[in-house]
Amino acid sequence: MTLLLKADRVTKKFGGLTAVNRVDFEIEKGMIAGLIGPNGAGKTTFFNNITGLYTPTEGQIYFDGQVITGLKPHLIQKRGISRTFQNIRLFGQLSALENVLVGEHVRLHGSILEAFFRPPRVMAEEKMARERALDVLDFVGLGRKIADQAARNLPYGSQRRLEIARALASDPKLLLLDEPTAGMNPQEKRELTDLVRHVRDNMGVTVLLIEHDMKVVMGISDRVTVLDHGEKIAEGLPQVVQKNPQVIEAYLGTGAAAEGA
Amino acid sequence: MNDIVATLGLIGLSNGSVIALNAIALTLIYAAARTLNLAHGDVFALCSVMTMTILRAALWDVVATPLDLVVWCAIAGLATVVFGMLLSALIEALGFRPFRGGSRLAPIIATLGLSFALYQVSLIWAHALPTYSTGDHRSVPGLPEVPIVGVPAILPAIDVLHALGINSVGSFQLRDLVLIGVAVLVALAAQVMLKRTRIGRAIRACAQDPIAAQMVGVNHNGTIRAAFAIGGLLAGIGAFTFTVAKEMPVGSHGAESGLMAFTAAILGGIGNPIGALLASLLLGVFSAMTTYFLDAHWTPVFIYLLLVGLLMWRPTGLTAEDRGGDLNSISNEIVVLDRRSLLRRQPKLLLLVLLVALIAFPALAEAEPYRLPVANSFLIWIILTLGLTIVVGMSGVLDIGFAANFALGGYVSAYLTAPAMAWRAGFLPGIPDAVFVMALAALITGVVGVIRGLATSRMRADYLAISTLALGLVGHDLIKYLSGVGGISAIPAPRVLGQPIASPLAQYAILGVIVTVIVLAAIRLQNSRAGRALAAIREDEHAAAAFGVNIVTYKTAAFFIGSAIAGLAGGLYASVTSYVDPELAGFHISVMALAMACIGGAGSAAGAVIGALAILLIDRVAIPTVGRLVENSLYAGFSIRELNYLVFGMALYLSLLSWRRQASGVEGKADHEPWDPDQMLTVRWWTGLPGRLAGAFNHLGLSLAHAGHRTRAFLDRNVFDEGDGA
Ligand SMILES: Nc1ncnc2c1ncn2[C@@H]1O[C@H](COP(=O)(O)OP(=O)(O)O)[C@@H](O)[C@H]1O
Ligand SMILES: [Mg+2]
Repeated sequence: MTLLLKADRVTKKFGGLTAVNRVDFEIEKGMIAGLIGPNGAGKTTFFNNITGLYTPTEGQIYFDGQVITGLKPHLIQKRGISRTFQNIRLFGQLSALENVLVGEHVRLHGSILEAFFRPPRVMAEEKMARERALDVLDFVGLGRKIADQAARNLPYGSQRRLEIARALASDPKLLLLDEPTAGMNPQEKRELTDLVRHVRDNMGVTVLLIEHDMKVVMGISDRVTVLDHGEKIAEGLPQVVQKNPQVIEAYLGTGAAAEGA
Repeated sequence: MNDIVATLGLIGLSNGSVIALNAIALTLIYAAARTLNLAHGDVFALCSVMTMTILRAALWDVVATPLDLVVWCAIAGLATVVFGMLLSALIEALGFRPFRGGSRLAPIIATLGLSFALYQVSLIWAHALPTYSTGDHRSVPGLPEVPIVGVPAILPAIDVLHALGINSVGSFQLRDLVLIGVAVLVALAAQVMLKRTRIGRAIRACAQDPIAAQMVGVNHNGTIRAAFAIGGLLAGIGAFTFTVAKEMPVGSHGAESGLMAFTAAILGGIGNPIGALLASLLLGVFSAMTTYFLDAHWTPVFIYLLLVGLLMWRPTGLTAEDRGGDLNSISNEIVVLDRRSLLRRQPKLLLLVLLVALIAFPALAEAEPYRLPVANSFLIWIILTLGLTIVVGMSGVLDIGFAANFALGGYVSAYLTAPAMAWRAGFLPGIPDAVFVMALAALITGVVGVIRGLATSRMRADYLAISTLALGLVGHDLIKYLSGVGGISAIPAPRVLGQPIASPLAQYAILGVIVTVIVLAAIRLQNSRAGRALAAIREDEHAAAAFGVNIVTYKTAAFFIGSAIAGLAGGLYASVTSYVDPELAGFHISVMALAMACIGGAGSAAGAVIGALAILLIDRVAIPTVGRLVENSLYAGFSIRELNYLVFGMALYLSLLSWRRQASGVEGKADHEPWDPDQMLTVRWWTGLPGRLAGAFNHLGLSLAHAGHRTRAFLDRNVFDEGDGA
C-alpha cells in the first residue's frame, strides 16, 4: 500500500489554545480511516489544516509525496483533496447541479473571456461537465430530478449527499468527510455508510472521515484515530481502539460516553 | 504661532467632544448588536430637532426668568432623551430584529433605508417650524441642505480664558467647556455602566461571544434592545447639549460625518467609552489642524483614509478575540439576493419583452421628443447598474461607494474631449474617437476599481460596507478639489470615425446596443464556469476556496469588469449630457445604483435591468406625476417631490425585508459552530467577536464645518488682522 497523506507533528494554536497538538497521522491509498474524539478535540481543525483553510503553526503535511503545508485551499483542492463540511456549506442559492459543477471547477478550463465568447471547445467541455455532474448526482443517490432545485430547498439528508456529490465531482484522490451522518436517523446513517463504502469501492477514492457515532465508525473504518484535547491518544483497529481505557475516559470525561458505549 | 496652535487645540477639543458624544453611543450599540447602525445619526439629528422645537416654542422672543430657563431646559432635555430612546428602540425593532441570525449586512442596508426615510422626517419636521434658514452643513453628501432653526441663547457668552485672566491664548467659550464636560461625564458614566452594572456586563458578554452569553443565561434580544435604548439616551443627551451649546444645530444626519465618529470608536477600541472619548478629542484636534494648515476640504479625506487604513490593518476585526483563525479570507456575509423565480425560469422571455420594448420605444416616443433624452439617461443608469450587479450581485462584494467609478469614467471622458482641456492640445489633435475615449474610461476605471476592491475585499462585511462608503466619499472629494466644484461643461457629443453622434435617436440606438451587449455578456458569464465560481464566492467564500476556486483571481476579474462597465457608463454620460460634476460620485448615486441592483433580485442581468427601470420609473415618472397632482393641496414651500427620500428609503428597506428569509441562514455556515441553543443566533463566533461599532452616522461633519468656520473666523479676526499670524 502506498502512502497518500502524511501529517508530521502538525500543531495548530489559536492564541493560548492548542487545538491540534503534534499530531502524526498517515493514511494509505484505498483506505477508509476514521477520526474520532469528543467535541472540541480538534478534529475539524485538523481537517482545516489539511485543506489549507488554516496554516499549521508547526509541522508538515505531505500529500502524494509532496509538501502541501500552507498552500492556498484552491491549490490543495487541485492536487486532489476534497472535503465536506460539518455544518453543511452548500452554495444555497445555486441549483444542485450548479453546486456539483462548482465541484468540477478544477477539472474544467473555461476562462472568463471564454465565458463571453463561448468557443466550441468550451461549449463541448461544458456539456460534458453537465453530463458528468448528473452522473454524480445519480451516483450519490440523489437522482437527476432534483438537479434544478436550489440547494437550500433540499431536505437535510439530501443536502448531506449533495455535499458529497460536490466533493466527488472534482475527482479527488482523498475525500475528507466531516461528520457526514450528523443529525441523521439510524436508517439514514446506514444508507450513508453504504454510500461511503460505495465511493471507496467504485471510485477508488481514499476516505478520511470524522464521525461521532461509534457504530458508524466501527462498521466502516479500516483504522481509527482518536483525538482528545488536540492530541492523538490512540490509533488502530476499531475494535481495539474501542476498548482502550484512555479513549473511554476521554469520552466519559465529556459526557459523550453513552454514544461510544 | 503658539497662539494658533493653542487656539486650534481648544477648538479641536470642543469639536472633538461632539464627535465623542456620538462615538460613545456607537461603541455601545455596536458592541451589543455586532453590526452597524447607519440610522443612529438620524436619531441624533431628530433629537436635536426635538430640543430645538421645544426651546423655540417656549423661549423664543420671550423674556425668560432664570427659573423659566431651567424648567424649560429640563422639559426639553427629558423629552429629547425619551424621544431618543424610543426612536433608537424603533430602529432596533425595524432594522435589526427581523434580520437577527442572518447576514450581518442586512441591518446595514436596512438602516440605510431607514436613514433615508428618517432624513425625510427631519426635513418635514424642520419645515414645519416657524422659520428656518439653511445650514452650511450637509451630512449625507449629495442630499440637499437641511433647513435649520436657531434656539434661544441659554448659556451666557462667557470667555472662560478671559475670565481666568489668560489673555494670550484665543477664545474659549463657556459653551465649549460645557460640551467637553458633558462628553467626559457621558464617557465616564458609560464606562461605569459597562463595568459595574448587570446590563453592562450583559452587553460585554454579548460583544465577546453571543452564544456563550446565551448559554450562561444572558437574554440576548433584551440586551440588544437595552443597548439601543441606552444609545438613544446618549444620543438624546448629546443632541440636547449640542443644540443648547451651538444654538444653531442642523436637523440632518449624515453618513459622511458619522464616519468621523466611527473612526473615533475604532481608534478608541471597540466597546470602550473612554477610548472613544480620547480618540474623538484627538480627531477633533487633528481636524482643526488640517483644516487650518491645509484646507477644510482635505480633512475628511484624511479621516476617511485613516478609517480605511485602520480597517485594512485588521480586516477581520479589531479586538484581540477577533483575530481567531488565519483563514485566507474571512468575511463572506453578503447581501443575499434572491433570484426571483420568474427571472430564474424565464429570463429569455423577459429579455425578449425588454428588447421589443427597447426597439419600439422611439416610435412610441416620437410624439414627445423630450422623452428620448430621458430614455437615454435611463439606459446609462441601466449600464451602471449592470456594472454594480457584477460586483455586488455576482461576486457578493458590497460596494456603497460605487458611484466613484461612474464619476471617474465621466471625468476621463471629459478630460479627453472637453474644449476647456487645453492639456491635450500637444499630443491629441482634435477630439479623439469615442471608441478610444470610452475604452480608456473603462480601462482606467477598471484598474482603479481593482485596486479599490482588493484593498477592501478581505474585510469583514460591516467593515467592507464602511470602507467602500468612505472610499466613495474620498473619490467624491478628490474629484471635487482636484478638478473643481463647478464641473466640466460643453463636452462634445461622441464622435465615431469622425462622425458626431449628436441626435438623441442615434445616441439612443447606440446606448441600446451597448445595453443589449452587456446584458448578453452578463448572462453568458452567469452560465459559465467563471460565473459559477463567482456565485460560489458570493454564497460561501471558504467553501468556494475549498473547491478550487481562486478567490483573488475571480474577485479581481469581477472588480475589473464591474468597475469598467461603470466607467463606461460614466464616459457615455459625460458625452451624452455634455456635462460632468463631482456629484456624479455622490452618495445618492451609489445608493440608487445599489437599490436598483438589489430590488430586481441582484445577481442577474435581467434583474438589474428591471430594478433600474422600476426605480427610475418611480423616481422620475411616478413621483413627479403624483407630485403635480397633489402639489397644490400641500402648504407652500413643501413639495411632494421631496418625498423621494422617504419612498426610496422605504423601498430599500422593504425589499430587504422581503429577502429576510433568504438572508437568514447564510451565516449559519461556519465550520465551527458550537451548538446553538435555540437557533436564535447563528454567528461565526470564531471570525469575529468584535466590537462591531454601532456605526452611526452622525452629525460630525458639523464639527468639521464648525472647525473650519470658527478657525477661519477666529484667525481672521485675531490673527491676520494683527499681522502676527502665519
Ligand atoms: N478559528 C478558531 N479560533 C479559535 N479557536 C478555534 C478556532 N477553530 C477552532 N478553535 C478551537 O479549537 C478547538 C477544536 O475545535 P474543533 O476542531 O472544531 O473541534 P471538533 O471538530 O473536534 O469538535 C475548540 O476548542 C475550538 O474552540
Ligand atoms: Mg468538528
